[in-house]
Amino acid sequence: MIYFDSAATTFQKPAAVRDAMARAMATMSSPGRGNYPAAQTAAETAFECRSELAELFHAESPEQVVFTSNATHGLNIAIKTLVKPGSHVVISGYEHNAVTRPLSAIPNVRVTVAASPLFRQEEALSAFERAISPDVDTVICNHVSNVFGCVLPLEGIAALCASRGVPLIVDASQSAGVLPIDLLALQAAFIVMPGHKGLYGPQGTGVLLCNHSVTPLMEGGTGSLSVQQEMPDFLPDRLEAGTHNMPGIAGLLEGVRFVRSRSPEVICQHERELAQAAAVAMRHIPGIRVFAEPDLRNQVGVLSFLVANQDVEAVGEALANGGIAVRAGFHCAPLAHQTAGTLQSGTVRLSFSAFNSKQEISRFLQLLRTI
Amino acid sequence: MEYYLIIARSITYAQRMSRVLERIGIRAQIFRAPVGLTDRGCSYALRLRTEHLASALRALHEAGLNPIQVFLFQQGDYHELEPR
Repeated sequence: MIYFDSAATTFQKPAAVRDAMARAMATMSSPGRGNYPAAQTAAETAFECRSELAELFHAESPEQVVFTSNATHGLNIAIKTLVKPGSHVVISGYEHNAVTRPLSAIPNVRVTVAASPLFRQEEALSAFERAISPDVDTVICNHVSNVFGCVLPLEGIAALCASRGVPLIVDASQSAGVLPIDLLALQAAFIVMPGHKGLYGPQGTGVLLCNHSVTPLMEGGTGSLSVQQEMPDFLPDRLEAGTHNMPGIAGLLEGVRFVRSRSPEVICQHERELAQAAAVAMRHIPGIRVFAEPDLRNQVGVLSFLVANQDVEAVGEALANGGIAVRAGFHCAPLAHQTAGTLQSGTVRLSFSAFNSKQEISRFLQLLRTI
Repeated sequence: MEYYLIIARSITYAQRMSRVLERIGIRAQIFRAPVGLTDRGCSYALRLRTEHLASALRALHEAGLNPIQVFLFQQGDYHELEPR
């Protein structure tokens, strides 16, 4: 199988990830639960993982790194901390349902969409500038669209939020491990990411970087302050009720080490080259519409396209039958399709990882020409 | 045998303390603190040799990592040190 669905989950992982998970199953219980080796090894692994993540994303302390079960989990914590009934929230035009559904679930939230055309960073920044009025309580912005791969001007949006005193939640689901992310410089309240995409960890892992006081989504045992009934007021314990996913965390640690050893910049360059090669060739195929910039300056290795007179799911199925895994439909982001004008059709999406090659692009193009 | 116990608010905090001490050449084992020492329920502690206390506390203070409590283990019993 040729796998081009890494914006959903990177399927090919470094071998060290699998090995670490198997080792964790054999040697680790849960951090902080005892003075015996299985608990101590788990504690050491969890701390190593927090420390690596803190260094990669410039968090001041490993305690700001909270393990979640995925990005949706982290977004729910961040959103339900900052957004209350009646709040006014500004979001980008490219948000995922992981942002818009939690907002819809909170009564009487007023949402202003700072919509901007694909790949136009200056227009995106202007849209946020206009939308962040004095009564705005929170801004939520994804760094990269999961549908189109377009990069939003995060530094500018963060500076705007800082200057107007509005807390910012960043959805880094598509950018973590690919683009530089600096919690200290951005001064975002929360940055949220999955472990199973660009960080090459296993499914069931996610990370919430906290730079703001936070309300737990879930209460329970933490192995600390056990005689009191309130959740601890310190991180990460405040947000990590229950037994940790140690095989997941051990795998995530190796995934993060893989990313740091190659560097996000090198991985991003590789994925961009693949996307560019695919986009250039696809433009020469009659009936194909590709959503890409000529130089992919404001785009990463995520590429949507349409085939004239073909349902996107039919295209996805034809590619799957030919051994190529892609994602078709709305990608859980109807707002992004509304913004880009593809809400009626959806798109077919290619998304690449460090493990894809130009030979795989050639094979894909061959197959696409026959559809 | 005499030693000091530094109580930390969480295992992650204790691990941060341990890393700071490692950097100045002090090895301090992390373990769950005896239940009778705190009224907070489960806590974590670092065990220090007596000659390391002053330099350890200085390094932790400089790193912004402050212990909740410090105890001296002496003649089979724990004695809490007055906060300084």
